[in-house]
Amino acid sequence: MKRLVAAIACMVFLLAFGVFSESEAAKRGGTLKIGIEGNVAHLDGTTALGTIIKFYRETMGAGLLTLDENYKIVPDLAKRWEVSNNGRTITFYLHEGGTFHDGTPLDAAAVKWNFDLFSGRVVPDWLKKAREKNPKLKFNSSYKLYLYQVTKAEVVDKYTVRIHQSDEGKAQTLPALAGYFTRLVLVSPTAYNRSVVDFRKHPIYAGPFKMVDYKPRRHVIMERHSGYFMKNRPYLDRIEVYYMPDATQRLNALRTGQIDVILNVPKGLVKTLKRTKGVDIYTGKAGTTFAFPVNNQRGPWKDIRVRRAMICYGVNRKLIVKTALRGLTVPWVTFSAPGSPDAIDLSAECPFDPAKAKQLLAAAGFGPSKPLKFVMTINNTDPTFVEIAQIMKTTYAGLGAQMDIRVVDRATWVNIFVRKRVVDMTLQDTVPVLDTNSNSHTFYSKTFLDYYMMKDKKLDAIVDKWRATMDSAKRREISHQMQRYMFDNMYFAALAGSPYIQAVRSHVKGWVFRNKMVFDFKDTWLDK
Amino acid sequence: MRTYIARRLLLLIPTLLGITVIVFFSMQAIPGDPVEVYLGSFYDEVTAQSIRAEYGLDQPVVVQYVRWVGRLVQGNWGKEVLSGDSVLSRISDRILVSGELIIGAMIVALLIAIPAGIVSATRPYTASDYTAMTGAMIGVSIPEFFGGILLVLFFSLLLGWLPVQGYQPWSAGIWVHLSHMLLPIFTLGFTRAGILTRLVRSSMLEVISQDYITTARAKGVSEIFIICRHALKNALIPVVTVMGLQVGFLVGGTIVVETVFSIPGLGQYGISAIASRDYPAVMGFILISSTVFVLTNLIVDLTYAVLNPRIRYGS
Repeated sequence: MKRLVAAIACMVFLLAFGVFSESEAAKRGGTLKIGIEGNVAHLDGTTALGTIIKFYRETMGAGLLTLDENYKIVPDLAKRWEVSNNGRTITFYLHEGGTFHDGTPLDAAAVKWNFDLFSGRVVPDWLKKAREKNPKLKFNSSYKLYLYQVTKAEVVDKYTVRIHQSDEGKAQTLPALAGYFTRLVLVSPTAYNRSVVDFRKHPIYAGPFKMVDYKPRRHVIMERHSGYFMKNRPYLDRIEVYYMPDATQRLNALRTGQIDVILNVPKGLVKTLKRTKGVDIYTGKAGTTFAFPVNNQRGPWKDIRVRRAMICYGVNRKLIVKTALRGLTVPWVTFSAPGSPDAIDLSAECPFDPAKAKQLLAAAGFGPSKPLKFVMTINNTDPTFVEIAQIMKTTYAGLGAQMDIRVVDRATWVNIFVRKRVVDMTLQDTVPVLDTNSNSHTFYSKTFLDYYMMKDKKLDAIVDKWRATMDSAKRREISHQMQRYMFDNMYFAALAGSPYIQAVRSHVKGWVFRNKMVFDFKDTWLDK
Repeated sequence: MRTYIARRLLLLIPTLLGITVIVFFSMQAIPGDPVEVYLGSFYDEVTAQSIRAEYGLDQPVVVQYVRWVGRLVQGNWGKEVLSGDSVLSRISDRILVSGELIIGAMIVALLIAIPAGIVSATRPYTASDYTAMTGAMIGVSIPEFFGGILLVLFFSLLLGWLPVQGYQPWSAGIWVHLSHMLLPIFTLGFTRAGILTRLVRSSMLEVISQDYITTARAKGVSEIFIICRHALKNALIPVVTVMGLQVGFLVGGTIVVETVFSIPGLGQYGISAIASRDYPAVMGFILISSTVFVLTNLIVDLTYAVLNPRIRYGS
């Protein structure tokens, strides 16, 4: 009997760890082909924002920290870290032996240089030259939005770097380094110093893949970086990214195997892809929000009764989710997206109630004799925007409000919504929200990007409190408080979660879905 | 003839100037500029001003235009604001791709239209005529983007013969290159074939009812010889006129087809340049498209003389 048990145990062990692991062992080599919908102005990730630039920056780059599939902060270049001095000091212990794509060493000195670069303590050579002509020129880095608190970076030894930070903002450093929209990706000091013009066309990072060919509006070709600090990664030899603006062509290219991955599947095509053999769909709780922001400082939107009528009770979220969003998500009313670890769901407090909405509008002075008139300006990048806008127009008409729809191209939209802020209402797929703070630049009035125009000092104070609180449980409470405050004041018009859907050929293995928080292909391999 | 050509070429200058003036000033009227697109959310006035000064975008629109024309006369088409690359070199890369697409589409259109139109005209109100005319009607009615999708569905998804999209240069291999170009070429070609088939038919019907054709028949000349030698040449005059116009429309058609098939041609370049407000790139695109259109029409006019010796150009 004992022999039988031992034999069965042995077989189970072999099956579990032998046969199984062999069949699933990652294979080296191959080319992963990705179809992407967007084009970028340049490839310098230190100064640009956007999902597409983030994708390129993180595919080619390495940061100190990253996120796992549960959005937990895990090591990247920093194999471990220590927080001390009540959060004012963080020491990072780096992986050894790695290089940037240009062969220069990836060490503590390089990390320090990067921190110094975006905080303005070091001025790259090209900027020094440019300042000879125009002394006022600044270096604007996207990293500074959430890492301004780093006051000093010091080299402890070749592979240990320490940062010192001020109390205000110290709590956001680790999440910002790991998974904010502006996750820090290290650039080669040598290359960046030399020429920013060259860097924009040929960025030199330290990640698993290095760029070999960039044809704007056509393709980006990347190859395995032999000097990557993780010696057994990446598995792939090459990644080819093709600019394919037409959604149907991306779909067809995936179905015929011409490409392996569609990074962002339009909602209207999900049903077709689900029926396609050999294609796996990856999605999760939405990490971003579909919103219809209003300018809180513009015309009737200054009045909370109007905001409550039009943002809360006047919108039939369930209908929009069921039709325009194909039932792929849930109605949503708060700032953090449904998939954010600190999100609170207050949807029940905003039922579709036209009578209540009309009542509020009447109290604000709008009615049949003086209807509320405004323009919904949307950009033409996503057909879903038009569908949603048309539903909202009909619903608002039922309230006696007159909404005109204006469709513009993206450049115009950025100009009038983000820069000039002359838009009444728009539709927007927000940036990923790891925590409520991670997208707070859109409403925190101390930044220059607060285009939701909330301009509320009390809200700014809550943000400051979050950024200074090291205890994660307390921070979570503050997150909830922040979302509740914005909801009570109807500052932010959330509509629903915005599902991020990736479609991947079945032979692509090691695929980890992390919404738009992190793009990482070092563990991806091809089983073909 | 030479005087005529010289006059037409000289007329090209005010025509192009007119087009560029309209486009240049219209572009300025649209909100947003290339510097905003370039800097994105991190727009700051100091950096923006510095870039604007570098590209002369800080000058009044009229000055910008005059400077652009001045540089153009010296052979300098300017630099793209977004990439800093020479507009001319970008356009020369892409014009070959679009040129191949346009020429290929015209060849496909003629290969379909001329035989179909002749058969249709010589056997009117028969099954062949109805088939050809139905095919032509379908070609005219289906928009390019939809026709492209149908071709992809059949030849790529169903049969798996051709790639869905993308572009490969000749250096990747003749078949590899052609396999990527066939669907876009046929997509563009079918629509034109529809228009031209109907035109060849009506033109042929008119010609073959004329006396000199009856005379040729009475003399016992073979039908094939009559059609090919006598009728077709005369019937082609209106077809050539429309072909010239169609080449112009094909330049526009490439915008849709190159987007649908991800072909890095001039059309895709133009649409991206407009979306990113890259003025030098937009102007380069407009200039080259208009020149192609105007020159094609000149060639068409000159072809009349070849087809019909009675047509003479000159003083």
